[in-house]
Amino acid sequence: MQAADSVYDKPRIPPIPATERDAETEDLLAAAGPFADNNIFTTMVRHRRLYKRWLPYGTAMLYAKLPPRDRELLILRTADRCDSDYEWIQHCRVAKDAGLSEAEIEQVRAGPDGGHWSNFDASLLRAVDELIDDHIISDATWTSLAERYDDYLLIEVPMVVGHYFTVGLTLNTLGVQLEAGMG
Amino acid sequence: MELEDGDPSVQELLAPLGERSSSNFFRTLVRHPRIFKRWIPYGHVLLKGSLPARDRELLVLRAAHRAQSPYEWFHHEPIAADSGLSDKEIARVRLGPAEKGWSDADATVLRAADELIDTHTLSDATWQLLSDRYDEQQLIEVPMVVGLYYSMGFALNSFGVQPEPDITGAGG
Repeated sequence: MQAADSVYDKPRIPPIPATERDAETEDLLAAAGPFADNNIFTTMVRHRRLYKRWLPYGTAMLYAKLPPRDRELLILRTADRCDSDYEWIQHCRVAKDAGLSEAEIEQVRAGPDGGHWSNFDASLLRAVDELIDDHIISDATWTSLAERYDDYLLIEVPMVVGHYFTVGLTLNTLGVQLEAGMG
Repeated sequence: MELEDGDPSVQELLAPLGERSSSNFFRTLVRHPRIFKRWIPYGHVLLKGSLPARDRELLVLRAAHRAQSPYEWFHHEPIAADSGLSDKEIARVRLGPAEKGWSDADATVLRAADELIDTHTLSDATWQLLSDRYDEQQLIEVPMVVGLYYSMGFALNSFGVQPEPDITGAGG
């Protein structure tokens, strides 16, 4: 058996090469907009039936009603906790656009108690850790989030974490590689 | 957090689900129509995907058990039974892949769920064993099914979704 991190060296299921894409595949990829050439999409499109339903759901998660900065804190902590370099690196860029500084992004790895977070930022990071470690957001964290969020936004919290958790596991398992020039 | 009102647009979203519209999970998620509308087809395609139904239910039940979601477990018990798992096998899912009685193939499927939950990937050994049996689409579904059902479990727990009255059982 190879080392545990061998999956990061090469894909287990490679992206579909441009020469093998038919018109339907091209259309499906085009739906990913500016990210159409990213390895996550050119790999996942190998399962068309799933891709067609997964992409709109993922788009709804990325464009959730949560404040973008809050959403990216949830996503980055999830990427860190599920060891997905791909998800982490891709979202560093999104997180910067959403208003997180480089120092804050790096501090996400230290967790809710490891940096100079506001109480609310810490609650967001804690929600991720609780979901992954305890399979539930604690009453204290839920109450803290509910001070600022309505039901609509509260629903988004575990759904966003769950989606990026699922994507992280899938990226790791399929060995999806970072695009050239990333990382 | 459950549905309390008779909002017509909410009823419209639930109607196509037929009997399943009484599910407390759907009645909670529908409070967020945008997520609900896209979650339903996505969840459906994984529930009716390419994996053999029996293997899929082994993954789902193991994920439900590991996420400590009694709601998900009880909803999937009948689906697992329809997919060919005996009551004894369903109960044994809780004991994991190393428990006596599993075929090598079943143990590999359960081990895949545990590896994904514990290490966030599949070992080369487990990937190889699954690759011997599954095509590309089925392989893609393995982490997606485990991730989706595990994370649905932690969402259900966090929302405090209660079992429907006609579902009985003890513990998750």
